[in-house]
Amino acid sequence: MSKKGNVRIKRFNLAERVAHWSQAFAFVVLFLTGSALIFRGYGALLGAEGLRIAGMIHRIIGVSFPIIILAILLLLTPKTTKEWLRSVFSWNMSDIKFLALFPKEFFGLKVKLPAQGKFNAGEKINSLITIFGSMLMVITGWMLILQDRFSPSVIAWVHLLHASGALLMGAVIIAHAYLALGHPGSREAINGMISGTVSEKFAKEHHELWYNEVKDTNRVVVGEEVQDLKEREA
Amino acid sequence: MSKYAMLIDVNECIGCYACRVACQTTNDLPSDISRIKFMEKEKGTFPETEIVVLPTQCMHCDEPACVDVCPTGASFKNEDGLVLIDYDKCIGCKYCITACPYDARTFNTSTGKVDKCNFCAPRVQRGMQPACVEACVNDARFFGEVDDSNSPISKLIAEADTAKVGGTSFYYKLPEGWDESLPEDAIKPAYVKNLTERVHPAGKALLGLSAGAVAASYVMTRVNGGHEDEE
Ligand code: HEM
Repeated sequence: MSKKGNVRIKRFNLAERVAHWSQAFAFVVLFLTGSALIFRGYGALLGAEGLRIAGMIHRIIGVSFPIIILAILLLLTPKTTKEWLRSVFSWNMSDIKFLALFPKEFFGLKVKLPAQGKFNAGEKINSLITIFGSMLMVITGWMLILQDRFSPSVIAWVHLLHASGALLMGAVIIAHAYLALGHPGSREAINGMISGTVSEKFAKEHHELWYNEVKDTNRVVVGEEVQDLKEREA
Repeated sequence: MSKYAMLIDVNECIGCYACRVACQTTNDLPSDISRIKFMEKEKGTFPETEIVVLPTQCMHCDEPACVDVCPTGASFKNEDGLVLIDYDKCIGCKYCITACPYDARTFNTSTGKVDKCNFCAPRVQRGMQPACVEACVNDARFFGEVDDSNSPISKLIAEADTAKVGGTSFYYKLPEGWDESLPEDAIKPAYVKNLTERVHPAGKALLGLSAGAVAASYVMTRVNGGHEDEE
């Protein structure tokens, strides 16, 4: 292992990571319990009693988790949340170029991507879909819970939106999870969400603009300062 | 097409609601649940106006929207063309309430399931009339088999002043000059089509596309050697 590999760059604090995994857990549970009403074969497998339980779990998680996640982001780590939001809403030409070239990178072809900030253009799109998608799902989800107060024609639209949002977000999640876990180019990123740090090499190669900003302040040397990283290295 | 039909002669209906009470008693319904609803319509010009009552209930559509959207198959059309609910399968998701063009379905909070008129199927199977027909004090309601052209209901249906709610098993005789408020022919709400024929297939295709791209990338990044990240 090279010396360089021992230098790691702090990427996400604990609150950010807990918020991320809460969102991930909630989404997977909501997708698995909700989509039983769309995939009839799967629904039949669960049976009526299973579907009733799934509906109950769906409601409990759907009502509680958005509040928990918002509270973590806004109360425990407001500064990074603000930076994240600012970043995902600011776009320039190099983001567009990144998106145009990314398919090549995705399928393993050699390509030089433009230098990116803390969040690359793909991560920004994933963030935007998550933010607006979750808002859509929470609003339409609450309307489904309180549907007796709305006319059937309104609820008809709500069903269309809730189902569309679920399937669209599901499609995005598949690619997102793969990029983090299975893609050789980007799977180092998962460590940023587990231990909170990424390797210096990864930071430099994938988020050069960000790396240049934080390389001194966010630097940690594994084996001396950061205790929990020891286990990973072993 | 259904084997059975119901006809209401609105001229004879006096709006006494005996049908609703009989229905609730026969089907053990709580008093706040009614399978029969009443559309009230003012008729004539002032001061000679009267209130006409048009009872509505499940029309037992030929191609029921409720059956299309039901995720569990609890709503179904039986071999006699009756639209029924299998209560073992109903999970109370209410999609059918949204889909029904006739507002014929109600959520029963005490059972957590959806309720609607079943043309008193258990009575009909024993050769009896539906409770509402039997209870009607002014003989405004008729029910019977339509494939027998000699049955009383077939003869009534053949009369010129009988209007059919298109695509359903329901007929009305309307007061003269009545041109409004007949429930519309069973047109499937656009929403049913959008959900089952557009959103669901398109969404599933999108999921498949994403999974396909991931599988392709997985293979190609390994074949192409890609660039290694450090382990
Ligand atoms: C982003 C996460 C979510 C996903 C992936 C999701 C997915 C689904 C799916 C696929 C359905 C069935 C199809 C449909 O009716 O559109 C559904 C139904 C439903 N969802 Fe969600 N949903 C999510 C969030 C929520 C939230 C936050 C709430 C509540 C606040 C909620 C409440 C409901 C309700 C009440 C139903 C009707 C289910 C039933 O009656 O059994 N959902 N959801």
